Amino acid sequence: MSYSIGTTYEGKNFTYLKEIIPFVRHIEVSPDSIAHKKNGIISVNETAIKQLEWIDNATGISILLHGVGLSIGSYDGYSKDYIKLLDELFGKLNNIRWHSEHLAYTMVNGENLGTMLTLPKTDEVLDMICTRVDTIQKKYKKLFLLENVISMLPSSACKYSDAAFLNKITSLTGCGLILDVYNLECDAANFNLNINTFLEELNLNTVYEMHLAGGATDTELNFKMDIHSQLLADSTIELAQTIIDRHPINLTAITFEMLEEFVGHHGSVAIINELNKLSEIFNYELTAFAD
Amino acid sequence: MNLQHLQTDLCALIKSRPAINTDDEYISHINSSKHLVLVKKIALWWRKIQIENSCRLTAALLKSKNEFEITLSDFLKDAKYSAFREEVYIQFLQYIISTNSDALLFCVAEFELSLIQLKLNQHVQKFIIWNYEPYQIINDLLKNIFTEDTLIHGKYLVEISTNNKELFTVKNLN
Repeated sequence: MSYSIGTTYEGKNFTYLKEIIPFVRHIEVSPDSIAHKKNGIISVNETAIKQLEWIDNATGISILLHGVGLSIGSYDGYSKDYIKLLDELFGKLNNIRWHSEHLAYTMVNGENLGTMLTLPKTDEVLDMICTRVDTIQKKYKKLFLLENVISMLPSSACKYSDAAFLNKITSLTGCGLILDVYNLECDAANFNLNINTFLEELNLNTVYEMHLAGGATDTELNFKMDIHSQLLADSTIELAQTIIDRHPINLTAITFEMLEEFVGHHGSVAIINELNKLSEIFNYELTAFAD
Repeated sequence: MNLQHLQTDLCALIKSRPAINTDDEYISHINSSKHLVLVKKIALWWRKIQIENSCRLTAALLKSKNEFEITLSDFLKDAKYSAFREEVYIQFLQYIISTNSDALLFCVAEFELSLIQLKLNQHVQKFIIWNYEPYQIINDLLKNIFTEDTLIHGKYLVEISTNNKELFTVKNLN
């Protein structure tokens, strides 16, 4: 099995994009980070569109859209502005492999929480999420993936385990999953998630993409944070290998996530080294995305 | 507790407002937990790195007064800020302009907002009266060496306009 290796691009540094392109087979783009409002209407900024069109037309690299602001778990509805961005991007780009969002909420009653919170794993939430996933999949007719996010608050009353909840959503809707390996490490450190039990229970055949990242620990509150500011720890790569060893049959993409604000801190050479390391470890082949 | 009540109460706690269902065991537990402190801290951290990079002058001035984090924290509590990062720093500057009585901070925030609007190809025609010599302030803020001790008093008209060739012009009114 071979995997497509990719990384994050947030639309602000075309020189950096051109530097990393030879070392990736896909680029993960967050519609939220390339959006702006003009005359009160949300849209993708023109510079970013041109860069994505360049990826689309000149490189043969796949684009994976990865949302932050859909807020699919808000009780009062998901973001219509985010949907407008998806409409625009699907209308302009040909090479979008799939799109995805975090299984979480960021907005409540029109207010931004400033972070993502996990959802209670109840039947009420299950029904709401599945209905919304169905609507999104019907609208775009592209594979839609949901990602596990880290828990920042202790769980409220739950009927399902983490893995059982994800299994329910994927089996009821046919959507897939992004498994964020670093987030699993965070949950293990912060809330004693038993990763082995989680992986035993999760239907790994619904996983299409893995996210790998490095973060930091808040030493004051002793909390491992999902902030994508660091290069990869050995433990994260080892856990990814453990998951691959379980042969998830639909897994084809591995994305190294790095916040654009920290790219300059590490330098593009360090990012490229990380991508090369992942390629060597996970048997990268150019045919990984052949249809 | 249903999802609406849960999310509404957690939102209130994150914004440092009282929850509605204070008798609920879970909400009460969260309210006194380190995790709520953490959520607020992380929300602040995300906005901080975005705003530091995008509003360099205003952030540097606030930092020189040791007011950056508290102002940002107030903004997060008070303002219905956008989910889109390219909007948040503009909203932050607008918040500073609308809520701050410090004349220099007002001038710097207005100046920076006008430059951002210019960069976004919006039509801009802005005149700002500064009570201090602007070039030194801008220079010192960009180098993170600003101190109020070196301010040069006077009256200066700063113009930021789409019609000008320069980003901005300064006219000494003394």
